[in-house]
Amino acid sequence: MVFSSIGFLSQEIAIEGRNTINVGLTPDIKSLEEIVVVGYGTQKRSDVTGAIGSVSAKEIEDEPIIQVGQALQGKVAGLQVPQNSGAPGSGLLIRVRGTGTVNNAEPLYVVDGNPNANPLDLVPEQIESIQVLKSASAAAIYGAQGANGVILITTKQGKAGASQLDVNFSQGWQQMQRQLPMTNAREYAILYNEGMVNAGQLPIYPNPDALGEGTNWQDEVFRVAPMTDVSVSASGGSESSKFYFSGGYQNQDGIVKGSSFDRVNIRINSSHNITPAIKVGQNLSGSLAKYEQISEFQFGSVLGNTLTANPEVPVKMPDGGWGYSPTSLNSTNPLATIHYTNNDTRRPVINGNVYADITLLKDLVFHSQFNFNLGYSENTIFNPYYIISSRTQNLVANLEERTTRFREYSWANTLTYQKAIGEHNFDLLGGITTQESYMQFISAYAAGLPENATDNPNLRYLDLSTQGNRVEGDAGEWGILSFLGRVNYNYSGKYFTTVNFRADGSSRFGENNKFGYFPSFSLGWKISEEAFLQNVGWLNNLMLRGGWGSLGNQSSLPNYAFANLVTPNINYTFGRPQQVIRGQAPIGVGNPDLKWEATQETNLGFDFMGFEGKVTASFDWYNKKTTDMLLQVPVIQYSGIQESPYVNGGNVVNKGFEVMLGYQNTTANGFNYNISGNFAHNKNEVTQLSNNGSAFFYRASFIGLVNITEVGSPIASFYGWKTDGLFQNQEEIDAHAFQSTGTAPGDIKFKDLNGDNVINADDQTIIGNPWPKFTYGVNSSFSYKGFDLRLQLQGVSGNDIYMAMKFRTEGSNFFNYTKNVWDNRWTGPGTSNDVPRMTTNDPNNNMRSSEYYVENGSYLRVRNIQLGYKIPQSVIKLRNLKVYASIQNAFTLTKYPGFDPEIGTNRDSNPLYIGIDETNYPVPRIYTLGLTLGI
Amino acid sequence: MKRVLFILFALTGWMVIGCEDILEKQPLAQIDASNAYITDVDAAKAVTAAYQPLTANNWCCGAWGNSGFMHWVLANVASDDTEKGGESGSDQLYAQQVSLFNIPSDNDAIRFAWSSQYIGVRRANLVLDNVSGIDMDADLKSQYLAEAKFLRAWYYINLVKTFGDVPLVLSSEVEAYELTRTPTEEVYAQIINDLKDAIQDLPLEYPDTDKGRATKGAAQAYLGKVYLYLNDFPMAEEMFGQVINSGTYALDPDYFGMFLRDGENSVEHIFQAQFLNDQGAQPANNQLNIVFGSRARNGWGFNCPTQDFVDAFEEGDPRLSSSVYKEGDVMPDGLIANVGNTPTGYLNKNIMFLNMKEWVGPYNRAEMTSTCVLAKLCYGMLRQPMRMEIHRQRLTR
Repeated sequence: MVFSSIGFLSQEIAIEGRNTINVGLTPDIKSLEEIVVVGYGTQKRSDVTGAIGSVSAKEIEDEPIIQVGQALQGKVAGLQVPQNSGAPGSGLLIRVRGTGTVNNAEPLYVVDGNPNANPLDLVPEQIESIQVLKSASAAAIYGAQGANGVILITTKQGKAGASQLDVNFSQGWQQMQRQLPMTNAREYAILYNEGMVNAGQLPIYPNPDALGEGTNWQDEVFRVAPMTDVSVSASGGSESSKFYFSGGYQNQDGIVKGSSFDRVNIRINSSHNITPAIKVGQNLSGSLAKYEQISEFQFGSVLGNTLTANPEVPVKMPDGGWGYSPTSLNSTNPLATIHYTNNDTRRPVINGNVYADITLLKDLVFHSQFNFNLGYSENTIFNPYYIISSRTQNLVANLEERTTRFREYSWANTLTYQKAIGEHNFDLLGGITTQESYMQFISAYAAGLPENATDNPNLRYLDLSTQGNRVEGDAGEWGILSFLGRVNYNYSGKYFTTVNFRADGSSRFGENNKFGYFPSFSLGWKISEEAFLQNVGWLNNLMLRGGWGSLGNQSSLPNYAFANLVTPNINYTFGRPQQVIRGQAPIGVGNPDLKWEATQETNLGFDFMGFEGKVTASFDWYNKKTTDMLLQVPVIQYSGIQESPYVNGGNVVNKGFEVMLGYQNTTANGFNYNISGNFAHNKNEVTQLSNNGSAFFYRASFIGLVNITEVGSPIASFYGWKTDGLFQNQEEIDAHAFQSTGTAPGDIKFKDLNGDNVINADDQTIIGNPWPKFTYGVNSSFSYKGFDLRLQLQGVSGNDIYMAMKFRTEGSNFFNYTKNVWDNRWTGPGTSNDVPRMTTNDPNNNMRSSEYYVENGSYLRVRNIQLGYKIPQSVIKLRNLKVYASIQNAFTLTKYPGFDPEIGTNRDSNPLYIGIDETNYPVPRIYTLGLTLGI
Repeated sequence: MKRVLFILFALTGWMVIGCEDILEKQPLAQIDASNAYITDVDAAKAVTAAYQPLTANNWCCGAWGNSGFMHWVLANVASDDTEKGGESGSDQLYAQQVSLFNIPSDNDAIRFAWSSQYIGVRRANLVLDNVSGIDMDADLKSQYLAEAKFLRAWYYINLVKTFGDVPLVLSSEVEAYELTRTPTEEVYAQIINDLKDAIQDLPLEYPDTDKGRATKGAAQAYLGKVYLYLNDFPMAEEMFGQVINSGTYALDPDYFGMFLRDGENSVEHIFQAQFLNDQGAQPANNQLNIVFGSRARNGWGFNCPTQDFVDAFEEGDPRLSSSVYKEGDVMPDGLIANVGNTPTGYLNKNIMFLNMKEWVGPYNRAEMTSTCVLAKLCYGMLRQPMRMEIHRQRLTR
C-alpha cells in the first residue's frame, strides 16, 4: 500500500494482514526547492540571500478579502498593514520595515512583471503568490523604484493536465465591532447646560429629563451589511499550451448606510510553446469597480456627525420628513446627509502584458515583455435640491464630474544565461527597461440642475444645468529608462552570492542628475551543506546570509519639480458687472539638481529548517538609512515665494529585526497542524533635516499642529502640550505657571517644560509615537480528515493614536459627548483629575493639542477563524467540494476607546497623516459562509 | 549567433534612442517661467496676479486656503469691538490667543499676515521687474506699472502697521535673502514714493470692464492715510482734499446697499478688494459671510460685535441697524434673526447670509458680499467718510 500526501514523501508499506496501520509520513524536504519570484526571474527559495516574505494562495484561500493588502495582514514579518478605512473597497497603508520618508512611502507593486499596477484592481482569488522584497539586496533590481520595498504578485497560470473548473461562492454579513458609547438626549442636555452655565451664560434646556433617551445615531447609521463573492475559474492545458481563465463578482455593502463597493473582473492568462525555443504568453485582467462613498476622516463628515449629532433630533419628523431641531445649533441629521449624498466612483481598468521567451542558445534566454495599464477613475458628485428645515436646505442642485485618465506602458528586455561549470553555478541577467506614465485630470462643474433630479438619477447631467459652469483640467507624465544586471553565483550549493546593479534615468530627475546608480550584493553560506554538518540528523537546512544594497525612491518627486513654472489661474475680479479675470505668476522655484531619495540598507539573517522539516525559523536584522530625502525647504517668508523648492536633504534611519518561527507536524492518525508566528521590531528616527533643521508639522483642522517631524524623533510624532491632571482649586492655579486669562478649577494643567512660568508655544513637545514598536502575527491551521480549522491573530504594540475626534466629542460644546465625559468630568474639587470641566467658551484652551488626545494604540486582533469541511469523494464524485464558515475580525483586545485601533492614513494617502483618528470608518466584523466546488 | 547579436543590438539601439523622449518630459498644462512675460496679455495676467493677494484675508487653513491678512482677527477681535465667537473657545485658537493677548510666535493670524503680504509684494515686484521690458502699448504699460506700485505700497502699509520695522524687498530677483528689518520711517518713505509714482500714472476712472483697479483717487486716499499715520496732518488733508475735490466720489444714499452685490464699486467706494461668489473654485469668493454668519443659519458665528461697539453709535444712527443684528430682528430677506450661540448677542449684518436661493455650490455658498465695511469693521479699504475721521482724530490728539 502506498501512502502519499502533498508535501510529504510517499511511503510504501506492506499490509501484512494488519487491520490498523500507523504511518508517519516524512515531509518532503524537496519543498525547500520551492521557486520564488525575485524580480526579472526566479530563484530557489533556499538559495535566496536577501530578505523575502512570501504569502501563497493556500494561505489566503477562502478568506473574505477584497483587497490584496488584506492578504498580507499579519502574515509577513516586518510589514505594517493597517486598513486606511473600513469603507468597502478602500486601500491599505503598507509600510515595509518602517517608513523611510515623509513623502510617498508606498511600496512598488509588480504584477506578473508589470510594474506600477494598482493593487486596488486585483482580485485576491486570482493570486498564486505574493513575494515581498524587504531587504535592499533583494529589491535593488528595482533601483529607483525599490526604496519602499517591492511587492511581487504572481497570478495563477494553467497547468498541464486535465482541465479544471472551480467555483467559489461565499456570502458574508458584516457588523460593526463596537459602538462608541455616547450620551443620550437627557445626558447631552445636562452636559450642555452645565457648559453654558460655567461659561457664564444661561442654560439652554429647561427640562433635560423630558428628553429621555433620544436617538442613538450609531444604531441608525450603522447596519448589518451583506457581502457576496462569486468566482468561476477554469484552467488547464497541455505541455505546449496552458490557460487560466477567471471571472468574478464581488459586492460589499458598507456597515455605514450609503456606502458600498462592487467589482466585476475577468482574467485570462495563457502561454504557448510555439517551438522548443520560443514561448509566448499573455496575462490580461479587466476590472470594473464601483464605489459609493460617504465622507469620513473629518469632524464634519458623516462618520464624524454620527458621533456628534444631537440625540434630541429624531431620525424622521412625525410628518415623515427628515428629523431636525428647530432650536438647537446642532441639528445635523447624518441619515439625511447619507440620503442626499451622491458620491460615486467608477473605475474601469485594464492591466496586462504580452511576452516572449526565446532560447537563443542553450542556457541563453531572451525575454521580452510589454506591459500596459489603462484606465479611468470617474467620480460623480451630485448635491441635490432638498429642504430639511428652514436652516438646512440646498435650493440649487449642483453636479461635478471628475475624471482621471491614466495610461502607462513598460517594456522589459532581458537576457538570462545559466551555466554550471563543475561546482560553479552561474545565473546571469542583463536587461534594458523603459516605462512611461501619463495621467490627465478633467473636471466639469455646474449648478442649477432640475429640482426633481433629487429623486431621478436620469436628470443628473451637466446639460440640464443653468448656472455656474466651471471646467478644470491638467496632466502630468514621467518616464524611466533603466539598465539592469544581476549575477547569481554559487559554489557547490554552499557558498552563494548575488550581485545586482541597476542604472535608472528618470524624467523627474533634474538636468544635473539624470541617472542614478543602484548596486547591491549579498552573500550566503549554506552551512547545512558542509561536510561537518552532514551527519547532524535534525538539521535540514541552515543558510546564513547577509547583504547590502542601495535603492532609490523616485515616486516622491513631483513630475516637474526641477523646472521654474508659472502657476495658472491666479485670478482676481474686475469689472462692472464683476467678472473673474485670469492671472498667472511664478510662485515657486525649480531645482535642476533634484534626484531620487536614496536608501542604503544592510541586512543580516539566517533561514533554518530542521527536525524533518517540522521546525522552520528565520531571522533578519537590518539597518536602513534613507538619505537625500526630498524636502521642501522653507524659504524665508519675506521672499514672497509660496512654493518652496524641493531639495534632497533629509536622513531617516529605520533599524529593526524580524523573527519567524514555524512548527508543523502530522500525527500518525492523520492530524496535521501548523503554527507559525512572526514578530518584528522597528525603530524609526529622523537623523537630519538640511532645511536648517526646521521641523515639519501636520495641521489638523480646529486643533492645529498635531504632529511634528524633527531630527531625533520618529517621522510624524504627535506634538503638543504635556498634561499634569486638572486644577482642583484656585490655589493650584495661582501656584502654577500662567496658562491663560480665565483659567479656572477643573481646567487642564499643562506642564511648564521650560520653567519660565508661562505656558506657551515653547512648552510644546513630542507627546506620542504613531509607529508600533512591535508588529506580530500568529497563523495556525489544523486539519483532520476532511476538516480544517484556521486561526489567525495579528497585533501591533507600542504605538499611540491621536484621538482627534475628542475636539468635538469631549470639547464641551453643543456636539454630543462621549460617555467618558458624562462619567468622568470634573464637577468640583476632587471629582476628576482627567476629564476637564464643562465650559463652552473654554478660556484655558483645554482642547489644544495635548496628551489629552493621545491614547494607547496597541491591539491584538483575532483576524480570522475559519472552519472548513471537504466532502469526501466517496460521497460526491467531484474533484473538490468544500463548505466553510469564517469570522473575520472576530475579537480585538485593546485599550483604545475609539471605534477601532486599526488606523492607517486618510484617503489621500498623506504620509504624515498617520495614526490620527478624526473618526475613521471602522473595520467590520464579517461572518462568512462559503462553498467551493471543483470539477 | 550573429543574427542574435544583431537583433539584440537593434533592440538596444531602438530603446536607447527612444530614451530622449522618455527622460525629457516638458511640463504639461503649465508654462515655463522663462516664457511668462512676452506679450501684453502676459502683462495683464501678471498684474491680475498681483491683485489676487488682496483677497487673501479671510480664513486660516485647510481646504479654504488663501490664508491671508485676517483683519477680523488683528483689527476687530484684538479690540473691544468684537468677541471671537465660533464653535467653542478652542475653535480657531489663534483668534482666541489674539483676543486674550496671549499670542505665541506660531500664531496663525500673525504668520499669515506676514507671509501673505510679502506674497503680494513679490507679485508686484514681478510686474515692476518684468513688464517694463514687454513690447506693448506705452500708456497701458505705465498704467500696469503704476498699479503694481500702488499694490506694493498697499501691502507694505499692512506690514508696517502690523509689525513696525520690516525687511524692505523691492525686487523679485533677490538671490540671497539676508535682509534685516528696515526702520519704519524708511518703509513709509518707500510707500510714499510708490504712491506718488502711482498717482502720476493711474487714471481717475476706468471703463466698466476694468472697474475695481486702483485709481488715482485710491492712491491719493491711501497716501493721505499714510500721512495720517505719520501725523503729517497738512499733507493728509491735502491728499484727502484732492480726492474729495476730484468730484469722482460721493456718499452713497443707500448705506446698506453698499454691502450688496449691486452696490459693488459704488460712487462711495474708493478702493475695494473684489470678490465674486459664483465662479466656482477659482479663489475669488469671500467666505466671511459663512465665517461671520449665525450658527443657526449654517454660519460659523465668529467676530461677534460687543455691546461696547453697539453703544458707540449715536442714538438713531442708521448705520447701526445696517451693521449689526440681534435675536428677533427682521432680516433683509424677511426672516427673523436667530443669532445662534454668539456670546455677545450680536452678529454682523453687513456680512451674512442673505437669500439662500443664491447658493450655487460648495465653494460659494452665499450671495451676500461685503468687501468694504464700516470704519469700525473695516478691511483697511477706504471710504469717503475718511474726511470726518481725520477731523475726529485731530480733535482727539
